[in-house]
Amino acid sequence: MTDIAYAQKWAHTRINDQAAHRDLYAGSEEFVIETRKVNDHLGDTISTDDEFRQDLAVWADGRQSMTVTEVFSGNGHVMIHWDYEVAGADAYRGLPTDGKTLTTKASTFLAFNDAGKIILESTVVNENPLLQQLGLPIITPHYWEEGFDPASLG
Amino acid sequence: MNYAFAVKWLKAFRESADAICELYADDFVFEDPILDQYQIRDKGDLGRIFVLYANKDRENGLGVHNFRIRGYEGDHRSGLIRWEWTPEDCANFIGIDVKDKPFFAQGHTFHVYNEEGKIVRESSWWDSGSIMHDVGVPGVAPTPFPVAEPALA
Repeated sequence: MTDIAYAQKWAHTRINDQAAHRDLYAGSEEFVIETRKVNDHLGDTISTDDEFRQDLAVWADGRQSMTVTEVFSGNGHVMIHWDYEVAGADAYRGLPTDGKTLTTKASTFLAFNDAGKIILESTVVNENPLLQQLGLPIITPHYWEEGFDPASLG
Repeated sequence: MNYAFAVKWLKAFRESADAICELYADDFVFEDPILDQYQIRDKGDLGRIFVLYANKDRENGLGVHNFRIRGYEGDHRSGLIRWEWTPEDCANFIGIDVKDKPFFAQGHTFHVYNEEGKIVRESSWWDSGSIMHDVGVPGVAPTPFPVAEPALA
């Protein structure tokens, strides 16, 4: 299986088949998954079968989709870029969606043990576009471009 | 590369734009999608991206940007740097008032290195959603979707 095919399988099972997804990872307490800021590993880091089943269930709620766009292969690891869509959710981060479909990009790094099982997942979603689509006044001016005028920010 | 290189990379953030640019090959691609920075290939652009992080003036509102490494996973040709960022004395962040509102964020950066150890590809991502909650933007929840409380065995 190529790395991009593997990444597609990883993304597909995350959304559609939790049992098959679980099989991609090493044994309980031999892996860690971090998909949000870690204030405390208890609650923010998935490392057991129970946490896997409970915390990843939200990905299979039928409202989210993941489409792999790019894969960087390394020695015992891959970096995956993917498109993310939330459709049909009432709210995102507590903000009402008013029926909007939300889209953005995301990244996932996976490291493997010698048996090819995932021992580390680090996932970060670019939430700025999602929050902008929900009305937050987030700006990302291109301040690095030659001739950029800070006064243009008002 | 390794943990030591990651520390060198983040110390260069604090030193100067020139110091950070020296760590990249002439032929490089830099991306930080959270700041809408895609396919940056010019050293001039790269320097202007990083000049913010070398700010040492606590009065100008740009903030002083403290970074810490959480870990490095990979080898000498590619890998992931996991880091933490704590800005101090920052007045406005991506359009949001953060004056006197302490926060920190975590992120990860994937690097590909050439044979000379220079960065040829960078893909940086960080958790901006939690910042919106932490600085008190009205209505923003701590997580994208509700999560169950952790249970102690």
